[in-house]
Amino acid sequence: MILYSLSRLYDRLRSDPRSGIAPFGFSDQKIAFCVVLERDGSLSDVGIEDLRRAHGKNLVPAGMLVPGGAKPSGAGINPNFLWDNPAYMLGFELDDAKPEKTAEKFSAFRDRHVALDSEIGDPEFSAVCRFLRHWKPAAAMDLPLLSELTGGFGVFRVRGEQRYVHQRPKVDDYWRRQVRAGDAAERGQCLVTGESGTIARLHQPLIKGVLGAQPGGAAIVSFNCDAFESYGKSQSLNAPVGEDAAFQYATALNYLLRSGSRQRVQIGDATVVFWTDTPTKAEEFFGYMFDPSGAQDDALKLELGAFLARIAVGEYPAELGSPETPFFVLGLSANAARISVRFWFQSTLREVSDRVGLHYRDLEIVRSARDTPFPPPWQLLRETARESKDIPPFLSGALMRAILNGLPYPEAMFAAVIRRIRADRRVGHVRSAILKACLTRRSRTQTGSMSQEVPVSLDPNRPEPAYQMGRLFAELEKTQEDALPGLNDTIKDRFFGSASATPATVFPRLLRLSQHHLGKLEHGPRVYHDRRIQEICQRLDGFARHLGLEDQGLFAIGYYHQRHDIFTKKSPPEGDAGRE
Amino acid sequence: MSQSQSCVHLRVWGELACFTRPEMKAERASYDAITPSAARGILEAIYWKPEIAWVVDRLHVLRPIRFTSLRRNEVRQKIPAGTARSVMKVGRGFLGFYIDDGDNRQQRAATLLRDVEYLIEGHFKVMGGSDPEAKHFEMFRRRAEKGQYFHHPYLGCREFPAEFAWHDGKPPNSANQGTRDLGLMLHDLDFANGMAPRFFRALMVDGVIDVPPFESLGRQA
Repeated sequence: MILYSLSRLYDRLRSDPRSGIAPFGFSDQKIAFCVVLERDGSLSDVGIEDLRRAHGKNLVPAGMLVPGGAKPSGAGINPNFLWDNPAYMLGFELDDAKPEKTAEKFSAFRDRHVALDSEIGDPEFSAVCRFLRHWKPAAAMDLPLLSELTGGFGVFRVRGEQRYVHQRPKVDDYWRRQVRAGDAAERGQCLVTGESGTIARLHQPLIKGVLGAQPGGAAIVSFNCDAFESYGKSQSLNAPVGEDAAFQYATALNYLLRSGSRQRVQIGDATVVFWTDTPTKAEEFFGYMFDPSGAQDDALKLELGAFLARIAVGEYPAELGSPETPFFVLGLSANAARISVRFWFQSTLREVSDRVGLHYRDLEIVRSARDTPFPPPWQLLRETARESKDIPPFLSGALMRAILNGLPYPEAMFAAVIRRIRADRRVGHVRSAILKACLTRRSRTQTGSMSQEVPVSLDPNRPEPAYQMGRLFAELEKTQEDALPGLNDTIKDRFFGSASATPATVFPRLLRLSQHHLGKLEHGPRVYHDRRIQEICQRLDGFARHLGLEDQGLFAIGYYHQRHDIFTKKSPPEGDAGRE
Repeated sequence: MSQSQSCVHLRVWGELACFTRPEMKAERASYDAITPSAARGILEAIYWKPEIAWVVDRLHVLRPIRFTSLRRNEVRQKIPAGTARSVMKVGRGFLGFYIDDGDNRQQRAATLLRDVEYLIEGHFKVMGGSDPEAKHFEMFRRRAEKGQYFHHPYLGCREFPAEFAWHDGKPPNSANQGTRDLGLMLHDLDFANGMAPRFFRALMVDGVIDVPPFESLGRQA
């Protein structure tokens, strides 16, 4: 279904002239320079024209449709047709280590074009051939721009013409004809379209833009080792895909992954692309939702915030597009030269919007003004490890599957967050939100040990002792902070981990300590704190010897709720409350 | 479905399954449901003789379709068939390769199905021999009821064993109600014609996939 949906996306992009997507046999390449010739084939006075554009401080090559695709990797001689790097086009290479090889490259390039002169029969093409025949590679030294370019690709143009030689009608015709002829390839049933046709041997173009893949590109459908081949078939014959279908899905995927694309985001180690069957606003919007850093200007941020708020309450914003439009999400991750599919999700806009809304509703927890109301998935994953590179690799796929399918969140995420809380003793908004969401979904989809959903804000009447113990810990910590201001190590730094895991050994000591703290306080605050501690203590019937993982999560949530409650301004200040 | 004496219903289930898509063999991704060829493999594992050929008629997907991912360390080489043949001829030789050789290791990710349960409806054709249909049927039924097999049936890949049970009566209701298009699925391999794969359009209606006859997929030039 994945390849089929991608090839349908290609069809949609082809019918949209603004997309600039390459037709069969062509590809989009970065062209840095252009060799400008006279009609008789000599190099014009302009010489080499720089086609790079300014992008911030740097000059970057322009993207252009050229015949053929990128070169295969390796040390072979592969001259392209009317475009190539300076070594092939002019026999020039900066700091040439192998001048004989460069000369060979130039000869191959020249021979390829000269051989086609009579067949194409175009005056500009003949000019190129004449140029190549008479060109001496040594003369390249006189062209200063070449050394500055340090590689990059170039094309040909005749002075006075607007278009490039490879865009001439006869040249274009020739190329389209010969690209269809192909060698006697195998025929079979294509597994994407179901029709019979020639089977692609290698799936070109390679997929570029997946994080972690080799820079030259990787392949989804690849059989680059013996062990992956079956029934004696070699390479892509193991998975017959028609040539057209192969070109289409690969080109469409490259389009989605291109730099500057708003339809791709990075979540953990997975590069995620998404699209809809027909052009909709949702295609842009979901990119920002998964990665808000892309939204630079404030007006856009406000609009997004409004959208998310509406989705979170279960409303479907009609501006996204027709609710029945099919929506596709594909998560990819790289393994050297291969790409593996982390997850694939296909549904309607309405369903995706509902699921995302449910996700944010589950995540909702009381927060301060500084905290983001709708933390994106990468931020959730970030809380599971100390550094981004330590995030467990499969978590991103599992998290996205859980969000899009409305399934319980991965157990590993819950456990990782608890581990991080114990390691660095911080319980922030995002971590509490994750814990609350995991517990809520667990209680909703299976009969967990909890009867009610975890609340968004403080609920003093919660029956679970773990929750109350978390609240108690927060109160004890505040008592200590008020009694001994400016302390380096509070009880949270020393005892949070053990209090949440083995309360029976820790809480009696903490309660004894709190008596000393209370003694240090003035009368007013002392009564206030004492009352709050008592209010929680009377709900507890002793302390459990050991709390399981789920209860440790409740402990952390109780702590967070209580802490938030303490620091929320209430009308009477602390001193007055004590005098009541 | 006519109740001829060669129709069988077999319920299979397992924790993990991987009906590998041919286009994603390196980093395995599973189809959404069991393929007819995998179902045939299960039936053959329980009972098969050269005199019969199994045909899968219908597949019931009973549990919701859920995926999970795994990453495993595997090897990149195969022992070439030519080497094995020459060693057989000579009578001695070294056929192994080292599993922990750094060059040989490949880490491969796999996207698998979780908690699967299927009901396979199939029948066999008697290709030769003198035994009547009923005899083959009884043998299969006995073996399926007792849990006997030639090799342990598996769900797509050998490392995902399948539990099985003989099923009588009406097929149970599936958790997958409604119509769902599963796209082109591999039907089976045409062993008679260069092991060419044949694909069919799988439509799951209330959890039931009707499998077209293999011959109807036609020879593709």
